Amino acid sequence: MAQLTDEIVLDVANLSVDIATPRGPLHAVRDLSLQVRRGETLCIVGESGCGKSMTALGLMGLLPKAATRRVERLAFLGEDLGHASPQRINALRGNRMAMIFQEPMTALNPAYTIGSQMTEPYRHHRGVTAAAARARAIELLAKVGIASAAQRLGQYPHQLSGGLRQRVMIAMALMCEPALLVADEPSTALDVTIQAQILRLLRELQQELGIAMILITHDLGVVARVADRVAVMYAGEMVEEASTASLFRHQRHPYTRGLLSCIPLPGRSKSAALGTIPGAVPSLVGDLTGCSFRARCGLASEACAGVIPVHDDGIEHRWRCTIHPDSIISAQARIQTAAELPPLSQ
Amino acid sequence: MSAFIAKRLGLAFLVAVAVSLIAFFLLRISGDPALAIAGEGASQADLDLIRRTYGFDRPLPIQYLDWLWRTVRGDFGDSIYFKTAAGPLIFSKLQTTLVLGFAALLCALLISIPLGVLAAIYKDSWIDRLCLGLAVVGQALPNFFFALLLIMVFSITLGWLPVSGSETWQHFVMPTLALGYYAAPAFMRLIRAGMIEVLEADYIRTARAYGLPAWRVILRHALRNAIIPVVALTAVQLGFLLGGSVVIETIFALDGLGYLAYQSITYKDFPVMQLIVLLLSVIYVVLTLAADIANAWLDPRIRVAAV
Amino acid sequence: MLQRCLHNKAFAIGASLLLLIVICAVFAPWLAPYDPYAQNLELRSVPPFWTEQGGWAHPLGTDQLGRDYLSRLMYGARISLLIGVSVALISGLIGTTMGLLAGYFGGKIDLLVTFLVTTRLSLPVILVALATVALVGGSLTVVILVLGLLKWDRFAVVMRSATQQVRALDYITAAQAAGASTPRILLGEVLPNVMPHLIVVATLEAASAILLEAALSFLGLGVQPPLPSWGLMISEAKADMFFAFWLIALPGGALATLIFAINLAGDGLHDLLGAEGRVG
Repeated sequence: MAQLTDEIVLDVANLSVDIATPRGPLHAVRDLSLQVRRGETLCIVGESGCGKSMTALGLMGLLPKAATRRVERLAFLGEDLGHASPQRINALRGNRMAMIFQEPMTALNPAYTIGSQMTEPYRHHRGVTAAAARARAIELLAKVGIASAAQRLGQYPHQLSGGLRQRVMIAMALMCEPALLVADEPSTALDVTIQAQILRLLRELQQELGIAMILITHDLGVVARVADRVAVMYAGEMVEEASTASLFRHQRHPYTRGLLSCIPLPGRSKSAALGTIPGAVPSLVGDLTGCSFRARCGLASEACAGVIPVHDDGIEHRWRCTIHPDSIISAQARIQTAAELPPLSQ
Repeated sequence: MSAFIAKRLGLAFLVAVAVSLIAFFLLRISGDPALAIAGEGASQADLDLIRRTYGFDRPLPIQYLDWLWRTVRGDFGDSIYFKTAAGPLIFSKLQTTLVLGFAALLCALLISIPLGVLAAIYKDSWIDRLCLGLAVVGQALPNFFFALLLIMVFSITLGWLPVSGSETWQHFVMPTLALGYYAAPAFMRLIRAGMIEVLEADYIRTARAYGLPAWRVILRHALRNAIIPVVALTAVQLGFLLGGSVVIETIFALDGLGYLAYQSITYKDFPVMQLIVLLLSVIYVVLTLAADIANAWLDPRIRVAAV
Repeated sequence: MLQRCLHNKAFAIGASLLLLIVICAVFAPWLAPYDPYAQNLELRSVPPFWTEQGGWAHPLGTDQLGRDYLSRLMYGARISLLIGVSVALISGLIGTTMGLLAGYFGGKIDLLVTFLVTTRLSLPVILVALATVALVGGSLTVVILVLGLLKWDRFAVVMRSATQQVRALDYITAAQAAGASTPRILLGEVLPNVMPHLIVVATLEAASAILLEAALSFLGLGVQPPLPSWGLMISEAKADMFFAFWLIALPGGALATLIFAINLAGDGLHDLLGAEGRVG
């Protein structure tokens, strides 16, 4: 089991990202708040377009030109980054906070060797000699399970397979001993057999090095495997946040329940139909009020068009809904717990 | 990679042969070398004598093969007008033209690379429009007109630079500018387009994500990939510059190959004309070959085969 | 459609400027105040109207032989435009045919065309043109023919790749299946669809031909006097550059303006046609 401490590595309050479009600003992320502690993995889960990637980019300050970010508080290890200078953020990026991306095939520069790309940020941030940087690169490549590391340093990205490249990206992220690692769908673009390996690798490294990790995914299976805490996003908002065990035990938000019912699970009775969530994600352009899920929610009422309260059950399970918790827990709402999902390799 | 080079080499050789054919036949068909040697008002008997002496009465294909054979062996014939061996004459002027060509190329690159990079970074802003505007204006100005303008400003009005001759480095300043500016817009557009494409790439985002300073991201990561097609264009443009130098050299009386070409054409000096066209074409073929190889070598994906 | 054209600023400015020049050229016999060849040795090198010695009798002054410069400039436009259009036509015909055949049939024909293009690209065009004109004798016709027979390379290259793209499309296969003959397919199906590319290349090549002719005439190996080719006018005025700067500034400016207009219109066309390029 992970050694969780109470030290908060990242503390975000009310992060919003707007993207300028010809039809008006698109609210990709709205008032999102989260915290991640040392040694903890927080998974942000949601369907495509829910704003999870924008959240990650917004945290790291890597938003595209057309996007603007507003944040009330963005504290990294106690330091306010929300209003810090670009130089300060640059000094931390790749150093104390690192990010790995979804597509390993295109994330590396085809013109330079692996070794050159791994050592460049390390030498820039720490000012060490080429030999020292090289040694560290070899050490980390070995750590992520790449054989003949010294040889690999001299190779070019196109000479490596997708799985290997992602391992290199992970090693690269760890070069400067980051306190925070943001991983945007790190296994999605890989073969199914490699996906599990990469996830396991990330989990092991995270626990060994005590890194706070934010892992973004659309796959609840990944959540079950690696997450300590889960944050569910829908249409740019966080609708539910809880520990993994708590979330799989009972979901408070109708959307989360809908998500879980969509997963085919072993042991379910054959006559029970696989769940779907009818309707489509609403437009995120223009003024938005009320709950964005209400058009697709079977339990919606008039109150859902107004301000939605955030409930907290006191044991770190929060959700954004008008419905009082006691009225919705029913036999139908319960599904199998995490114990019946494929086991986590600890 | 070596298979690639071998194939290109073979093609280059074939092209060189084709070019030699054109250099020979085009000129011979257009004009009469016997007349050129004898001059106007020569009698028919003189012309016949000259034809027999120089072998102009043989069938053209035979003359071609003879000329080719001798040229390949280094016997370049004599200049009709200058009355000296054509080979040494041409090669003595080649140096000046090469210096001019390289200087003009450097000038073009020094102008176009910064402008192209800036235009790409600030795409669709006033900087971008200004650069593109400069490019269009640059391409609209005829080079001989620009040369005259330069002379008007820097020689006649300001008296800073000499007008003609090729003794000192100051003599090369205006010719370099006049020759180089015309090549700059093409480079600028290519760099701009390449940079725009590269700046969108994922690996640029990765470089930024690792906190590398902006100049490093742009120069080391972006430009390195965007410059690949530019290298190929450089070789091609050098070829054009060498050929197009005839106008500039003539205006500035720069004692190079272009000026010699102009003189030989005016005086209908066949051996020199043929040789210059052949020489420039061969240089061009070699440059194109070098460009192809450089293009392949610069992209590690081609240079180092995937394991 | 016309709306689109006018909205594209590059095209609008370039085309209007070009239209202005074309009108001056076409209607020169009626618009020009004097005969461009009429010499008046008493009024030699009169400056334009904006100087002290100049006046409205000869608004743009006169040259060393007393010929009215405005008239010569207008007639010069005819020469430049004639060169541009005819060279583009001739080289366009040659190059497009080569490109269409190479792109459509591929294989050995493609290899041959590629080889020819590579060979042509290896030749120093100016030198070859100069040499040919020098040997055959300079005149407008000779210049047009020489340039037309030399400048087809870009047409061939662009048309070849455009044809290759079009070739892969379904309606070509449909036409073949319907038993249409090859010339019919090439002319009826392929050509209309590569037309946008053809037009853009034609404008660029026309501009390039105009500049080349100006350079040839400047060196004395192009159009011959007393024709009012702008390049020739600059050459004739070279010696008096310091005293009579307008004699080179005006034709030079005219050349630059014409090329600028053509290139601008060509760029605009490229953007416009790129968007709607594929028809049907």
